[in-house]
This record gives sequence, structure tokens and C-alpha cells, in this order.
Amino acid sequence: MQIEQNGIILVVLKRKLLQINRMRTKTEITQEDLVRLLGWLAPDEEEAAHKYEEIRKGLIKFFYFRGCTDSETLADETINRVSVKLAGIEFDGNVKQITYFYSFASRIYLEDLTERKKIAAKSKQIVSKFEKKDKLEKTNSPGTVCLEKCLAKHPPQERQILLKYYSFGKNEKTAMRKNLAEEQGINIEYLHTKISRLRKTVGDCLRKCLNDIKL
Amino acid sequence: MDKRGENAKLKQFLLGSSSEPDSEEIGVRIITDRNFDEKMSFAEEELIEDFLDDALTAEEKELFYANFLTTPERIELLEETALLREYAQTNFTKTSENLTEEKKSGSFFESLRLFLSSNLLRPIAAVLIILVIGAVVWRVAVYDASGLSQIEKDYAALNARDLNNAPEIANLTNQSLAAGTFRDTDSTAKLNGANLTENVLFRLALPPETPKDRLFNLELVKGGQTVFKQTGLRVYQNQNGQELKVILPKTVLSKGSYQIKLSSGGSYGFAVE
Repeated sequence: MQIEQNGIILVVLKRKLLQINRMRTKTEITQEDLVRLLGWLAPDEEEAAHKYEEIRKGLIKFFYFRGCTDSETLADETINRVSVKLAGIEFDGNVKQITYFYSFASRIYLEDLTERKKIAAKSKQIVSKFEKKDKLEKTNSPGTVCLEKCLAKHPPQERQILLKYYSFGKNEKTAMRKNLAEEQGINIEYLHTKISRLRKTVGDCLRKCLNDIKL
Repeated sequence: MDKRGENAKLKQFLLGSSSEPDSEEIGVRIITDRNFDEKMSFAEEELIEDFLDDALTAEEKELFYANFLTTPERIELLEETALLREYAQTNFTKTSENLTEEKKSGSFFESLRLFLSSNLLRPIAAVLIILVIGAVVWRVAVYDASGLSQIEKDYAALNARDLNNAPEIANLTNQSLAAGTFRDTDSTAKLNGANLTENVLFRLALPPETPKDRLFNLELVKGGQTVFKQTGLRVYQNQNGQELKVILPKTVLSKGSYQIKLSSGGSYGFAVE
């Protein structure tokens, strides 16, 4: 019964993957390509589907950290190209699957660079206001108002740590952050993780608040 | 490689200026190692701070625009970081005041040391030192009755919130446990260590007669040693009865068998594989 259910789930998953791939990517794949890919990933279908998902997630991260704008499409394009390429190739046991995916991903990243150069010019304009000499926001600006609102949602101790972390500039920040970690009785890596998570929560709240103001 | 060196390499990768072998090593790691995300995110945040601090060279700045600041997410991250820093640097004056205080107190202790170092006052100095040590011992062992480390206190603050209305818990690894499962090895709940989120939400089923306003203390035990503690955990109502919800950090959940012991005597077993 369980096996039957898993089988149905896999068929649905395959259809879904095929649909997603056809919708956005340049390289199209057939049902046979996908079956070949899954067979190459692992002999067991369920394991292959799991591996597929893991590799896809990893590729999305790869393209994100490479600064690509549509990481999901590029990840799918990588998988499609690997799937198509598999048709004419015999592998020996020495080929690492991840390295193979990486080689395609790095090529696609280079192709994407051309596209990004167009955006780069635009981003340069946008960020010129953050250059050091310029004052960023005035008191009572929507950004400051929202930030205060969002910070108020956190307990005072968390607020204090976050503000203290960001209150020092270039020259003193390394030493002061080390002190802050010591004060908290945690190591500097854990402090970074903690700040990173806090900043993400504040960031999500900030975006929502600014959107609400715009509306 | 030391952490600074590694971080510098990650920043080069983000700027698109790392060597081919480094690019491949980092690229493959991003694809395969889920735990690497945090290091990359930290390098991203540091790079943005370097930019805001004007600490990038002219060449790095060009790469920053051309290869890094090319997604809406990163532009948002830059905006948020800039806003947060500006706000913190303007409003967090207490920090510098505290520092001045610390400096002042440093010079006070220096004068006190010189004053007490005279032969006549040495016995008084000895008594003073004993009193200070006594006070510190009292503060740590008696006054701070929670007995929690700083990390445990941070998580206690997290767990003190109403977790039914905390949207971020939806994305956490979630494990429900019933008391006593540890005894039966076959039915021990198993968590896959590789797939855990940074924080893990445990839901511990409680007996139906548990008073709603009761608060629980918890100990996470591994190999007979308590590895993590939490206090003041509240009771939640669910469709099947009552339960405790507690968020624990992934960092305390390495491979092995664990028991969660409650102050009520309840015990819950699970294993991390």
C-alpha cells in the first residue's frame, strides 16, 4: 500500500517537474530524458527523486550566491542540460555527479553574466545614495518609522544586541563585536548567526511595513 | 585555512573574482552542503558592510556593482543594513556612554590598587578581595537561580513567547513526542541530523490532567549528561489535549540518543541520526 502510494507521488512529481521545466527554461526535456536523469542519480526511484530535489535546491543557492536574478529557472536549465547531455554519454564510476552538475551550472552562470551587466548599471544608480558621504534617512522618514516599529516587536535584550552590533563603524567594529560576544557569553560565530537571524526578521517586517505605507 | 582567510575567499567568490579552483570548491560546497548557507550569508552581509564602510578598493567596488548587487534581494539587504546601521549609530549612544564608564571604572580600580598596595592597608585589601569574591559567588550560585547559560537564556526568551502565534516556527523541523517512547527502541522517534533546521521545535504531549497554568522546566540529556536546559515552559492546548512546545538549537543536537526530562517527571526519548 505504502509502495503504491509512493509510486503515485513519484508519477505526480515527475509530471510536475516536467511542467515546471517546460514553462521557463530554454532547453526542453522529454519524459525519457527525465527518467534517464533519475536513473543516473540513483537506481531507486524514491532516492533519485530525493536526490533531484536536493541538487535542485543546491543549484538554486549556487545561482543566488552568484548574484543571478532568476536562480530557480537557471537551476532548472542546468538540470535540463544535464538530462539532455546524458543521452549520448557513458559514464565510468569516477564521474562525480555534483561536479558534473557544477560544470554546467558554471557555464550557465557565465551566460547569465551578460544579462546582469545590464542590471548592474541600474543598480549603480540606485545605490549611489548609500555612498558614505551621503546621509541616508532623515528622522521620521518612513524607513526610520518602520524600523522603530519593527524593533519594538523584539524584547529589549534582542534590540540592544542588534543595535549595539551595528553601532560601530569600520575601525572599531571588529573589536567591539568581539566584546559584545564575550558580554553575551557566546562565541563570535554564534553572535553572527544570531544577528543574521534577527536582522532577517527585522528585514521582513520592514519590507512589509514599507509596502503597507506605499499602499 | 583560518576563518578570516576563508571569509575573504567567500567574499571574492561573491564578487566573482576568485580563482577557478576556489570557485569550483565553493560552488560545489554551496550545492551539496546545507550548513554552508550561513557562512555564505554572513560573507554577503560582511561584504555589504565593507561597501558601506567604504572599505572596498575601486576594483572591488566595480565588481560589487557588476557581479554582486544584481538581485532585488541584495539591493533590499543593502538598504536594510544601511538603515539599521545609520539608526544604530545615531540612537545607540548608550554604548559609547557605557564604554566611557568602563574606562572610568578602569582608572578608578587602578587608583584603588595603588592606594591599597601600601603596607599598612594590605590586610584591608585582603578582606576586601574576599568580600568581592564572596559577592560574585553569591551572585552566580544563589542570586541567579535560573542556572541557565546565556544561550539557554536566549532560548528561554524565545520559548517564553506565544509559540502558537510565532509565524517563523512554521519553517522549523518539527518533532512531536509522547512520554516514554525512549524505552521502546523500535518506536524511538528519529531525527535526520543532516536535515534539521537551525532551530528545532519539539512538541511534547502532556497528560490530560495537567493544569493549564503550570510552568515546566526541561533538561535535554545525552549519555547521562544534561546538555541543555530550559525553564518556565508553558502549556498549550491542541486538538488532542495538551502539550509543551519548546524550541531547541540544532547545535545541541549531534548524533546520538537523547532524553527530554520534564520537572513533572515526564520523559521523552528520541535519537538524532
